[in-house]
Amino acid sequence: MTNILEIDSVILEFELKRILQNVYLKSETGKVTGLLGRNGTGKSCLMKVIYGELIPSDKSIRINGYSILNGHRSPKDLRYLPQFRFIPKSLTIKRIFRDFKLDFMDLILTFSEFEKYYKTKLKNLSAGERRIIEIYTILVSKTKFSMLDEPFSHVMPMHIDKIKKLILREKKNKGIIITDHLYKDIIDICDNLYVIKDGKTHLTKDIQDIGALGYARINEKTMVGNQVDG
Amino acid sequence: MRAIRLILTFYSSFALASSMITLSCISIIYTWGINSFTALFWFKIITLGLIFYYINSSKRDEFYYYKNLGFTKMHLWIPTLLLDFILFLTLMVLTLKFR
Repeated sequence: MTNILEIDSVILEFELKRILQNVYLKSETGKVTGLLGRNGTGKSCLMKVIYGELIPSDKSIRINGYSILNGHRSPKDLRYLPQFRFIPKSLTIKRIFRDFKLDFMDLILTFSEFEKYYKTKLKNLSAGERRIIEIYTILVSKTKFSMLDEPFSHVMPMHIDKIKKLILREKKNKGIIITDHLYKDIIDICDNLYVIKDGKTHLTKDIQDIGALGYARINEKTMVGNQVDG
Repeated sequence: MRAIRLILTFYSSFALASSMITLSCISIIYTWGINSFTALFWFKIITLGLIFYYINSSKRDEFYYYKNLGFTKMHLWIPTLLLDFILFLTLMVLTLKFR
């Protein structure tokens, strides 16, 4: 079944500063939706609004056409990877996988170096290893939509490639919204790409739009290597 | 089962501090008797309020772990505060009885 998550009519202000307005974003099963934007343009704020952690002046969030009015989000509908560490460091990987009903052997198939860490507490892992566990739990556990806020921070390039493969595998079962400043990696895997500028989301049609919207300098080399599917 | 496990994990983040306060109250009521009960009752309430404020601030990122598993702050705070306060009252009454 294809699930659709839509967000529009978001108006978010902090005191006199308007952060978001005229936002429209759509995510659906089978697609990776990328979200780019300069620092402070409201990417994380938008994700927090979708997750019910930030209350804007106005918003419309719908899953399969049904509006979500309160701040509660069922994990069956939506899971969210914030950009900071969110798993209590005293928990072991074994315990985390039990809570999220995940298969440790599946993790080992992608990240074989974690085999020795099954009973290790998170506080004994490096920042990158900890981030991989956090990404894996949100990305692979059962839900309709996963939102990933800067998943590649602290992660080494070799592991970024593995995570990208994992995202492409998991998009068969869910809709994925992702934001990160490693925009070439985002462009590699996303089917739709939005850029936030002046509080508004712009759906890009091709890679040149990213340059035109002032997010990054796009040269010919970038254009050859990447192509937005949207 | 998972709910109990998650609630106990959350409770463990302030159980030590709260237990120390409860034990202090028990030692005071054991020494001074029923006359100190009202003051200790309010002392426990105020310290639980302080713990509530401190944990909400210091563990604010970890609430996302519980929310990703379907547990809001209310789902965590109501049972843990009730458990802690019932434990406090029970130990106070037992101390008075066997004093």
